[in-house]
Amino acid sequence: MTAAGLARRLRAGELSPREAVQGYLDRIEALDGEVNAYITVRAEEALAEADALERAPARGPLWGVPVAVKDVIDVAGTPTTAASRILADRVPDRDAHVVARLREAGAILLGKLNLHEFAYGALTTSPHFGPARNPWSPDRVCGGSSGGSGAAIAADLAAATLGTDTAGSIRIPACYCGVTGLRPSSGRVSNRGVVPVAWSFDTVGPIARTAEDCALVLGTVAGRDPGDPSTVNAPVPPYGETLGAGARGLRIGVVTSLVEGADPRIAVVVTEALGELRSLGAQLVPVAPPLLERAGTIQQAMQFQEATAAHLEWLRTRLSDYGDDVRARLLVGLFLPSTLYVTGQRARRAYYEELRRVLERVDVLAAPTMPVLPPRVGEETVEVEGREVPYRLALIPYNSPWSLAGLPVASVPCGFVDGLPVGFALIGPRLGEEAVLRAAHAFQGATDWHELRPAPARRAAEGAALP
Amino acid sequence: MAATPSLGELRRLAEAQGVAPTDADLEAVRAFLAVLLPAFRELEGLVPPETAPAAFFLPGERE
Repeated sequence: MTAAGLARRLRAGELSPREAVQGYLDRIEALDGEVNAYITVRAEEALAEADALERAPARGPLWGVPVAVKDVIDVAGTPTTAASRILADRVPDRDAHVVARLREAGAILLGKLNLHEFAYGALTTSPHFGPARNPWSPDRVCGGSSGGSGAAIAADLAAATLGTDTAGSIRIPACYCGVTGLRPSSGRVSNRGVVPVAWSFDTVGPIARTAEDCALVLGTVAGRDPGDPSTVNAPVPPYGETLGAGARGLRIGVVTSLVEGADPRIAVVVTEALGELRSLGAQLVPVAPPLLERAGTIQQAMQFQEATAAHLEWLRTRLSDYGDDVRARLLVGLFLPSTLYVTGQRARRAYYEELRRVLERVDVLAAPTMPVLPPRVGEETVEVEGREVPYRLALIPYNSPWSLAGLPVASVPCGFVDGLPVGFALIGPRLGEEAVLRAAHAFQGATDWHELRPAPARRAAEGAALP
Repeated sequence: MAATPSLGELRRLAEAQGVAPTDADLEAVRAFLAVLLPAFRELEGLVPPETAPAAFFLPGERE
């Protein structure tokens, strides 16, 4: 069931918040041993919060809806581990701003979701908490770093989730788990109470079943936070009101080089999806944004050093407590000169100006979310036409171009290759989440890829109170 | 930026910042730097000279 659908049933009295919470707890009990989406389940707290909610007079847009958040986002009284040994015992005493907003809207916090250690990687194979497994194929990773968020939605272990995205960490797991994810524009959502990776790029956003659900959650958490100066002073549009405007008349810039550079089987699926949007009245325009191939390098020129700065004290005192891959990546920033950081900032401005000009000619851009299928758990390469391709190098050119520019990006499920989900990305202008959600919603109104569920979720749904 | 630094050079730089990595850590870092440094060098010639940095935000003044 979608979060929006569940919210409607709750408001109509067809289901109580306690029943909704208990339904998800039952599923978590049945399935999460296999999926490992959760690091912490707040069973008793969530049931108590459901009971309290039923007594409260106000009913917000997410009243009684059970949600979960990536375990870098603080929930008061519940550990925020960041899937690390270093923070294993850290219990915050305040909610993150986004969690407070979810609670104000009536959402119930089911628990904290697995991720790549410190959100600094795209596999979600923490050596400390174990890998989150792809519900579509348990021998495959579910992407990352918000892998638990994607897996929880695919396996129906929460109605909606929050992830974070620095260089693809919402889009990648949404794509690999066959669900919908939205990285909002930088500054659209507060990062207060969220463990940082790199301040210039970190963004909190929803992973859920549909664009409508993403709109519902984004509308709840977006907006200026006086406690986070990186949030923008811009009104939050009523995303739900423009969602149904349809695809007719939309100009979609297809980033041809990224379609052609993907695994040919993925390129076929994405091309068919874009054809569907054309059949709905959108106009497809091939585009070739300048400097696209440099975006990953430009982002890394800043990201390495920001991440190292965020972790410097622990690098000094807890170095051996990091997993091998994250430790190596964090150490790199010690050896890069400060002039590189400034060069990166200058290149970022030049890149953004070029991309902005492209976005003046279209409403949204489109490209494959990921050019390769998810690697198997324990592997860091993927096979494309018989060649072994490093997973990390494959993902950067498809994700950094948009996060470097701080643009909103949705990943929308659009088909399968070898039984594994494929997604396409819709990229909007800065603060242009409405156009992205509108196009995604139009596509989902005409297709059913977002409704398909992997075998474990189908099994658990049989005879359960929550369809 | 010069060529990939040696293990000894990396160790000195790390220790100057209060960090004590193992040889295995530094070998992993060298592998990263061998890929990254040439790409970073190319960035230096990419940006038009008049381009100012994309500034960090100022409270309440970004939009």
